[in-house]
Amino acid sequence: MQQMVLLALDPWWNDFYAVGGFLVGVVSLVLGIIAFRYTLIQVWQARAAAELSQTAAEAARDAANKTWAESKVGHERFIATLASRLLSELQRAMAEKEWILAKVRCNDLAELLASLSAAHASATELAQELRQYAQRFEQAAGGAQVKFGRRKWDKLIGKLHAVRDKLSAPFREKSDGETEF
Amino acid sequence: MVKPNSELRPRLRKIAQSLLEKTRAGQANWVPAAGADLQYELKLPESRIILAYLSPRVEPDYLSLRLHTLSGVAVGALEADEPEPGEPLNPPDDWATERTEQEVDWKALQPLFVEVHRSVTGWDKVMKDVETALAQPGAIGVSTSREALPTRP
Repeated sequence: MQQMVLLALDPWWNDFYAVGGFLVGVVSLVLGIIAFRYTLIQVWQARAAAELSQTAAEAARDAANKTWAESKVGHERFIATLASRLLSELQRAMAEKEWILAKVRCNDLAELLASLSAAHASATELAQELRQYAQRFEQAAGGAQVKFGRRKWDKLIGKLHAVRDKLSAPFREKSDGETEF
Repeated sequence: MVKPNSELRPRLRKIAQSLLEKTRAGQANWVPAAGADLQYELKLPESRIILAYLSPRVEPDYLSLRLHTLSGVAVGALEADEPEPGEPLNPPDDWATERTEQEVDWKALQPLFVEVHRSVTGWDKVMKDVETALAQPGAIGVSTSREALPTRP
């Protein structure tokens, strides 16, 4: 007759394993919760850092835009001041029939306006018109009899004054980042 | 601008005057010149007359009456700047005389151009039609159904 071997724990060990297993489960749960919380904190911190860097990038971009806009306005004011002087000289040259000076000032004003042409479409047309008048003044300087559209000239001078006034005005209407003439 | 010589000028003015009378009487068949705004053409058996209003960018606007052969050779022109204050750059000594002549030419050409422009475009008929319609009481305008509207190709 074969005898079966029964393996049984001693009651003390049995209790030890039951209580021990329970304690290990509780500790594991606590550790899991701690780990989960730690992970959440890490995620929050990463998101906060990302938001912070985004805010910093936006602030940097805003600062760059502001600097660009201020530079543009400063450049336009410089042009307005210079144009004002050139325009006065051009009108004086016309009155005094100093055709060479009139030609030079026409070309100077055309160059100034051309530097605005990227932002102001009408500046290109005014610059072209000024260059055509410069050609007429050059012909006159050579002694030629030159036909001259006085009304058109007066209209052009009026437009140039208007452009100068707009550029030098302290407050200007803006549309899509461009100054309206 | 082509200056007419002193011999042609009076004849061209007279031609302009006669053209004006014919046009007012509806006896001149002016047509728009091909490819040009404000230019009109009158074809005759042996010649062509071109009347144009031109507006250079930095010069005064001017009217031009040109006579051409059928093959297109210009044989005479009467041209006049729109009267302006001031003078050209480096005016010639006889500028005052030339200015007077220009004014006479302008007075000959300007009414002719106005009349030709009216007869070709028919703007006076359009104005009259609009004014007549507006003077009538009630709704005006021909009602057009959506299906009848022209469509884009």
